[in-house]
Amino acid sequence: MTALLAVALSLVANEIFAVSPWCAAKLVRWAASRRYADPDRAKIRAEEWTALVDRQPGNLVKLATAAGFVGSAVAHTALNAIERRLIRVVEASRREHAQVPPAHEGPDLPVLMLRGDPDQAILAVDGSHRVEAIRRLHDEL
Amino acid sequence: MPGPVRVTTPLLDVLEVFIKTLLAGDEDLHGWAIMKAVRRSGPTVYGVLDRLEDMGWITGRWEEHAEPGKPRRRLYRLTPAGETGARELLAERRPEALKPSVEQARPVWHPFPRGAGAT
Repeated sequence: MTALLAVALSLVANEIFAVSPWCAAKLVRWAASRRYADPDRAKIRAEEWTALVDRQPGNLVKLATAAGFVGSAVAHTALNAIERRLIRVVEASRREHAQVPPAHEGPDLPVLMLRGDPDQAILAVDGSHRVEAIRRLHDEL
Repeated sequence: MPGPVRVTTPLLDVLEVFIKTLLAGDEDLHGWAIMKAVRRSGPTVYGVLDRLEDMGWITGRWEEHAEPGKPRRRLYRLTPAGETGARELLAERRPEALKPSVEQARPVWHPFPRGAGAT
C-alpha cells in the first residue's frame, strides 16, 4: 500500500513539474493583465515576462519567478483600490467645503483650517498625503 | 519632458546599469540582464522600466533574432534625453557611477595611433 502511494505521489509530482512551465507562463500573463490598466503595455509585458520566465533554469525557479510577478500584481491591485478609496474620501471632503482649495494648489494646513471645518481640512490634507504615500509605495514595490 | 518624480534606489541602480552599459560600448539591455546586474526582483526592475518609459528616458524594441522556439525578449536603451537625464541624476546622487571602471580606463593599444600618418 505504501509503495503504491509512493508511486502515485511521484507520478503526481512528475505531472506537476511537467506542467509548471505552462503554469508559470499563464501566471505571468495573468499578472501583467492585473498590473497594467493600459492593454498595450499589459500585452508587451506579458510576452516579455513569458520570455523571462522561459529562460529561468529549472521548473521551480520558473514558478517562483512567476509567483513574484503575481504577488506584485496583487499588491499593486490592492494599493490601487486603497488609493481610489482615499481619493474619493479626499474629494468628498473638498466638495463639502467648496471654499477650501485643493491642497496641491492652495495654502497649507493652517490656512485650510481657518477657512473650513478643521476636522475636514485635516482629513483632506492627511488624505492627500496618504495618497502620495501610496504612490511612493507603488514605486518601491 | 517630466523628470523623475521620485528618485528611488532601484531607479538609480537601473540608470547606473544603463550608463555603464553605454560606457562599455553597448546600448541594448533586456530585463533579465538588468535584474542580474542590479540584483533586484523582476517586479521591482519592471516597475522602474515602466517609469523610465513613461518619462521618455528609455525606449524598447523586440529582439530581431530570437532563439528558435523561445519567446522574444524586449531590449531597452536610453534615449538621448534619458542619457542626459541619467548622467545628471547620477552625477548628483552617485558620482562614482560615472567614473570609468579599471577595465575601461586602461589605454587600448592601437596599431596606428591617431595622427601618426598625418602629413
